[in-house]
Amino acid sequence: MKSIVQERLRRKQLFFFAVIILLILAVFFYSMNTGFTSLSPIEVIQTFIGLGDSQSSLILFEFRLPRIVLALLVGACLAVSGCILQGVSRNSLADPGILGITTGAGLFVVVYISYASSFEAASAFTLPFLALIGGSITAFLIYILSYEKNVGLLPYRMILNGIAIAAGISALMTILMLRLAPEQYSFVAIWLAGRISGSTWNEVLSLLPWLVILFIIIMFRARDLDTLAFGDKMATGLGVTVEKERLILTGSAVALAAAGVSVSGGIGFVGLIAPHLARRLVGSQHVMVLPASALLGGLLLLTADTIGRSIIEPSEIPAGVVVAVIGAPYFLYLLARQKA
Amino acid sequence: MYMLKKWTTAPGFLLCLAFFLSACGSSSEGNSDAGENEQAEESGSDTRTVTAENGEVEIPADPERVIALQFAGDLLALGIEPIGVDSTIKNNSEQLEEELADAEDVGDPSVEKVLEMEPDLIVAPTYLEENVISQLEQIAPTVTAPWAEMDAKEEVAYFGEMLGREEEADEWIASYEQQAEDAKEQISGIIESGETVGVYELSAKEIYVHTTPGRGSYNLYETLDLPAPDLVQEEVLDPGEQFAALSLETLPDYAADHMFVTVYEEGGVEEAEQLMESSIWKSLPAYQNDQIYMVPLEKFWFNDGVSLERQLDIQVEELTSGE
Repeated sequence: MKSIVQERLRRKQLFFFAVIILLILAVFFYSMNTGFTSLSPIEVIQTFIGLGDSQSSLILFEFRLPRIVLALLVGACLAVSGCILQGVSRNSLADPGILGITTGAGLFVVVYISYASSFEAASAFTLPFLALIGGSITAFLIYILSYEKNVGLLPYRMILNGIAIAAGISALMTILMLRLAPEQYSFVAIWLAGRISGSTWNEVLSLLPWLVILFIIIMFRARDLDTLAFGDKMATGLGVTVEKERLILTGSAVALAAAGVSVSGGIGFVGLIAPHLARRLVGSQHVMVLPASALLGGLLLLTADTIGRSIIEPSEIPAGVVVAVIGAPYFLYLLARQKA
Repeated sequence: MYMLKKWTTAPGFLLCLAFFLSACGSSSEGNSDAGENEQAEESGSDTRTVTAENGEVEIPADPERVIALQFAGDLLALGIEPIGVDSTIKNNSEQLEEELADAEDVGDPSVEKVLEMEPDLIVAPTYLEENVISQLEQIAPTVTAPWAEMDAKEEVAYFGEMLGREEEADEWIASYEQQAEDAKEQISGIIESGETVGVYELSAKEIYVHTTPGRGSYNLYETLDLPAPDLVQEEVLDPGEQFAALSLETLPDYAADHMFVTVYEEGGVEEAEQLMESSIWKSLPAYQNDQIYMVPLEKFWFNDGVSLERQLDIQVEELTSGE
């Protein structure tokens, strides 16, 4: 009996993984063909096997491909981060954006741009680092404020603290941004809206190791994440060193979110939606939910970015805005369902 | 919609790439100043190596297909008509509308659009992200210039030297200075000694006072050498700030005898009208003496070369219109 149920579940999971991967491939190829210069699928394939002209290969290999890969990676980072935060806080509304980590990272970027002597120094290397520090500090603050002695971490308090801190930080950012010159202002505004434009292989290479290493660490702890869902007391009873595990997991989640945010700016909602969809499709075991979240996050962001860059050419809508347009209604739907 | 000429452009593109690569190759050799001329060793076509903010770049001696992501007015002053400009310039510059009528909008910027335009030179401001600049460099020789550090005359001279158009630059500067002399004469009887001028912008929430170079204030303070109100001089001009936000209550302290006013349109028109009905506004000396000059923001958005020239015309016209 039991084994049949398990078998069915496994088949269902395999089916959904296959579907998600096929969808990613489909959007991937669609995205390769889409852009200001339209390239036919044949030209794309020709270029891929090295038979295209230099203009096509410049467009595909230097302009489109890094951007597509980066969208997949950033989406995966944010989704896995959201998945962990939801598990650790036992709250299905947790996500790096709502928990203020994204905003914290953003504040550091704005401060840097406001006070850096030369604006040009906002390089590919300083911004990620600053975003990481900003995100970590915010996460640490929220963690401390949400911790009750003898009881452990209070999930609801974590959300409320996150919202309060994010609101405070946003206010600070607004004050700082009013002082910026128009060019700086538009840079910051676009950064905060979340964009993947102008991506190069450098960013892909700087993000990839973070994602791979952290994802491996997290996958080894997928079981503990399942156990934490029962609450601290139960988890302790089941032999999990709750505080240590939670620290490692939250730390990894923050690092993933900050790494993602550092290259893409404030993209919200991916970390909220992807894990939810993943749980619906593949069940609640984190061994399955984590990779499914990663794939779905990548798919979502890639789709959003493809829409964002093809809808009002030659200008672009930042991917974060497109995600929010899709994400906000879903979030409301989620809240409505929770009440019922 | 857009013609694709991929196959025919491949050789041209390779040529650009060759220029770019050779620019990379020569960058280790020496420290020639901007504008120093060097003959290209290959392909028979004339190129010159110039030093821009992004290093030494080999550019065509006589670029014909220039994309300007800023500085459009400076290039126009030198007689170069860009074939493509950044969205902001395309959408906001009423001053340069005529010259840029044929220039295409390249987004902010969309590298694919830029690539399709087949530029032989891209002029970009240093505030663009490194990544974007490195992508542009793969399309065509790209030179970056510092943003908001030089005044318009310096910018025109800078690009004149870089692009081998020193003569045009000198001519433009001379004509601008002549225009300034004429302007001084025309307004000599209008602004009495001790009277001040100021540049203000009304937006939805705040009133901004602009100082050089923004919104044509460079013309007033630098070129015509007119005095600013004391507080504006002390708190904005002297510390080198380009603008400051004022509240309605403090406006009288910063108000000038002659006020040039623009309205930032996004949500600001109604507020601006209300503000101009307020008793504080109506008690301003400039209001009472009919010395408030409303000017369109679209004509005062940019401060480069040709824009400045035309702004000066408007300013003189406004100042003399009351007489």
